[in-house]
Amino acid sequence: MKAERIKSIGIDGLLKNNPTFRLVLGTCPTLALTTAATNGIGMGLAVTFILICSNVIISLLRKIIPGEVRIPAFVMIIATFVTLVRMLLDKFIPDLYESMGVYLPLIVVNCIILGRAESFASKNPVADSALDGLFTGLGFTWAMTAISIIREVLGAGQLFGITLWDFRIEFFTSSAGAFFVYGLCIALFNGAYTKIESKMRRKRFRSLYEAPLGEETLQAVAEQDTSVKEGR
Amino acid sequence: MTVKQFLKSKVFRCIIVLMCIALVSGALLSVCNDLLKVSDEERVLRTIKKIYGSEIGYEEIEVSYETDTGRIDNIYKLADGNYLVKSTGYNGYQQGTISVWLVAKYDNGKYAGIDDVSVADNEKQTLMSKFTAGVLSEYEGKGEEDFNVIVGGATYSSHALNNAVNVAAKYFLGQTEETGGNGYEG
Repeated sequence: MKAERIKSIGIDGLLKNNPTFRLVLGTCPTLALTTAATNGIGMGLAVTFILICSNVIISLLRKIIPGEVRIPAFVMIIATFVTLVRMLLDKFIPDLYESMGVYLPLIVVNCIILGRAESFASKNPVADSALDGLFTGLGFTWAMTAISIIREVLGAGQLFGITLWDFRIEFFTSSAGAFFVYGLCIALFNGAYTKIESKMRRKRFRSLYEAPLGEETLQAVAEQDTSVKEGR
Repeated sequence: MTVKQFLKSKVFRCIIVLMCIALVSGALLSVCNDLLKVSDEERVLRTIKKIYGSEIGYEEIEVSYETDTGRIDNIYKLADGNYLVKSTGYNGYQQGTISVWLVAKYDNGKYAGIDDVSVADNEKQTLMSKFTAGVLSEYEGKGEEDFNVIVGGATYSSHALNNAVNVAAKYFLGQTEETGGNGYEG
């Protein structure tokens, strides 16, 4: 696989199409489980594992599963891995299993996993799908961790369960606080992302504009045009 | 449609594909379930570790005790002489229940009150987050049987929680009376 392709899938999952901050998917666990950083990381890694496994299997079976029954087939595959993760967590990390509660089995209907299965894994080769699962999962994990760190530090005066200070604003541990922090993070992320993207685009076009007209410049313009059309 | 046509149809293919996925998933999960199953004994040890901070030997005691307001589910005699109890209180919100784990403390063989109360599970209760560690600590260290800790906004759930603690307290106080104040005889 080309390095360019890996970079493209990586940036897509982590930043450009970040499931939490850009696509606003998986909102239910994001709001409910971000009261502690360990919960955020735990949920993120569980989703990452399930995403990679389900993407690989769905990609392998993409030519066998008929289009008419693809959604029930995807749900069955995802549910199998979710049940497996539940068993593993219950056996080896019971505290995390208990703190995740009902949100762990609810991963079965998580929009991120179903969305990647439908839009990516069912149309792309295995290696690409596995990478997409990994980077989308990591994108979800870092977003969950960022939100939970803010909420845990401000709401409980703790970080990863270690008490930092006695000062706490209980609003941040409530549901309203979750919406507030989530909204704030979306605004900050998108603001920063748009600014950086427009700066990079301006820089790219300026270099094209200033370069002497020749074979290389024309090729660069053509590549730019293709990437815009493909929505990359 | 003839049988031959049906076997060649897309509907048949869909059924076969879904059945195959279900069968493979089922087989994989049944194997994993055998390998990763958490036994009841292990769950009790985990609960003891959570309450005590370390694993301690225990012996399960057969008990059948139920009142109008609650019941005792399990009693475990711990190696240090205390008893770990799981009890359930009735009459919560929407007639639901709350189950708690608690420790019946024994000092020199005599009942010394309730300690280490934690919520195990519940049915139909929606405001369990109101029962913080501070609320649960109000039951601890007291040898009475009529606890009435009410949390504002969750009155019905408070009743169920009180019932769960009271049924255990009543049981152990009853045991103390039966043995003339000399402790528990099972």
